[in-house]
Amino acid sequence: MKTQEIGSLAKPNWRVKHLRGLSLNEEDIAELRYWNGLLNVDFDYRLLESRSPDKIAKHSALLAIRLLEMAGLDVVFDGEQLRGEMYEYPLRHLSGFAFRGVVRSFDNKYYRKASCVSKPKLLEPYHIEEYLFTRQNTSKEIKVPVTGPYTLAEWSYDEYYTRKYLDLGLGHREAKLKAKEELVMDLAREVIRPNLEALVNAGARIIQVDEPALTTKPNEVPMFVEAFNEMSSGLDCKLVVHVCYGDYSLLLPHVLNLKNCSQLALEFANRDDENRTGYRVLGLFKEYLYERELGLGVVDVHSDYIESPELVKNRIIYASRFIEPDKIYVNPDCGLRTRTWRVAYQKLRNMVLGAKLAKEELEVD
Amino acid sequence: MKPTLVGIHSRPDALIEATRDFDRGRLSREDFLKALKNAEEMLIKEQADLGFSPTVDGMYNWQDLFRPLVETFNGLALGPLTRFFDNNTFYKKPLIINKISYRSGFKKYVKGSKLVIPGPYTFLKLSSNNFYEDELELMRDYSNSIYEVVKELGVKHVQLNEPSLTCAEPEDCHLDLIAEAFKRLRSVGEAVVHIYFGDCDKALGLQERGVDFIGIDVVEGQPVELDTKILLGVVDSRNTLLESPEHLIRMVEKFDDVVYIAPNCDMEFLPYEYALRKMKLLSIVAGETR
Repeated sequence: MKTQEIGSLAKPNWRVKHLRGLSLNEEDIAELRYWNGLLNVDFDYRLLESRSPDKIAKHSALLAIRLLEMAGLDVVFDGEQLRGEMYEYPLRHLSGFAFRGVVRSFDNKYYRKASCVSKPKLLEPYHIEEYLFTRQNTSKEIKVPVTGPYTLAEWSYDEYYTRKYLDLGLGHREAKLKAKEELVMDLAREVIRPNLEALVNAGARIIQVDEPALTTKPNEVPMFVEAFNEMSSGLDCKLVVHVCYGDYSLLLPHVLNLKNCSQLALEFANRDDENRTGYRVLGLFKEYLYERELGLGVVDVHSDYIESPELVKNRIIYASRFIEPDKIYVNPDCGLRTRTWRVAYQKLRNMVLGAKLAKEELEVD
Repeated sequence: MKPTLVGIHSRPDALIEATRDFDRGRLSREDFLKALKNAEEMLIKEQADLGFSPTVDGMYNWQDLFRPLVETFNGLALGPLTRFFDNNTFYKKPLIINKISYRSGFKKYVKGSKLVIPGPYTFLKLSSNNFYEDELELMRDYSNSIYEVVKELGVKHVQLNEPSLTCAEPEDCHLDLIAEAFKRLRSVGEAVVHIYFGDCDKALGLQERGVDFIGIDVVEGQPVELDTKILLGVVDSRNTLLESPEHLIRMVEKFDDVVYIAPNCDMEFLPYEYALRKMKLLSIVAGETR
């Protein structure tokens, strides 16, 4: 029963401000000093006075790796400190998309949304540097998160393929569906597959395909399965699929047809209560004889509440009714980018302690 | 025939910046409220200039379609972040923990001349009930609370949003209660039940029950023949691809009693500039088909 992260940590103020050319205040510098001290990482503070965005971003990535190591995780990454985020960053490395503006995700959280305006093509693989940097700086197992084709398509508008099918005389709904199928498959073939190949060739052993949008449209899960099988065929690495904030009953039975996927990593803690309501859907996984690994979300990434090790343990023990304990990986619900590093660290630390308690009780490694 | 908006509008860049800065402690509450007011006034002016009526204020201080309810009704609490239908947009699910009734304080959420609010069936389907044994009683208490809000606000236009009618299977008793809520609101002013995000065939059941003003989505749903007054959701609020005026005019002309033409759903799914382009399109189409 290993512990792992899901991807992102927050970008610290000192990193964001430096990259934007803004001056740091005392609080920002104190925060940087705090983490340098706690994680025992050397830093040349004169860098802050020059324009060194690359070095500052790498320092932030190094601290993120150390933070995850110190929390005790078995599988780590760089907190996604060397990429902007999971949607805009990949799209900036392909042709075929144009950014249209900013829309809301929830509350006062937004994202810049693009529209597909021509057939997508990869300009260059975009996660190699991150992977190599992490590999140089840790001896732990590394899992590289890569945004999947369905999510890139679902989070975008589509003017190109939809127009094509409307011009062929299809009705609006049918045109949208055909357009989506073609867009997802083109992204899988032309963008994600060469990216995954490049990562494997660089040495990556575990890759997580992030598909937070996967349950958005109930009838489209098979569309992803087909695209995933196309893009992952024959790849010599372990592939994980991460999904969050949706109705997981929609995944079944379709995900059983994923051919080269070892693990589903899912969010549960966000929807949990004292009756373990959030984890009950796992009964359905048992019913469908799901036998692969399961990444079990045990800490909520949208709350500052620090889950106790006991609560983490209870969630794992409950999940073990449905999933063999040695198939469980313990992780946060999702990336922790909306929490401060202090909160993220405490959550992850307790997650690791809770996993240890669960392992003792379940008598597994 | 007038163009009108049907829900939460996309936020202009200045308001997006203000909300971000306010959240991060970089903007005072006073300056944030000023930015909010500017955005509301700008949208109301855009609507006036383009002939939209009734106007909405953009619902810019609604964090989601349910948040003002949770904040002003007794018996509700904030629940988990949950996907809003098939969108990359999330809402905090209302948790029903006690008997529902209107408390006070809704006025700050409505500055336009129209109130858009979840209908009783959509409220039932998208909330988490931990109190009522009888879901019809839940719907009744919720409808009573909406009625109290409308009376207090004194608005003359009310739109009950019922997107859940496109994806759930309401029983006759549910449709009865939607019709009951509608008729009560109609006694105060103009009321419309708007169905969107898919096929709107449940509108026929509402028509049978005396609901005489219905909004339908003809972008994502198949057209349905109605004898009622119609709010026609004809412009796609979930894609930036701009429709041709000719296509829209053809769609509008298929229906007899179209009182309003509108985007099919909330325009918050589009960036502000694209929402504005589609509003201008609606204005042109309304002018051409008037």
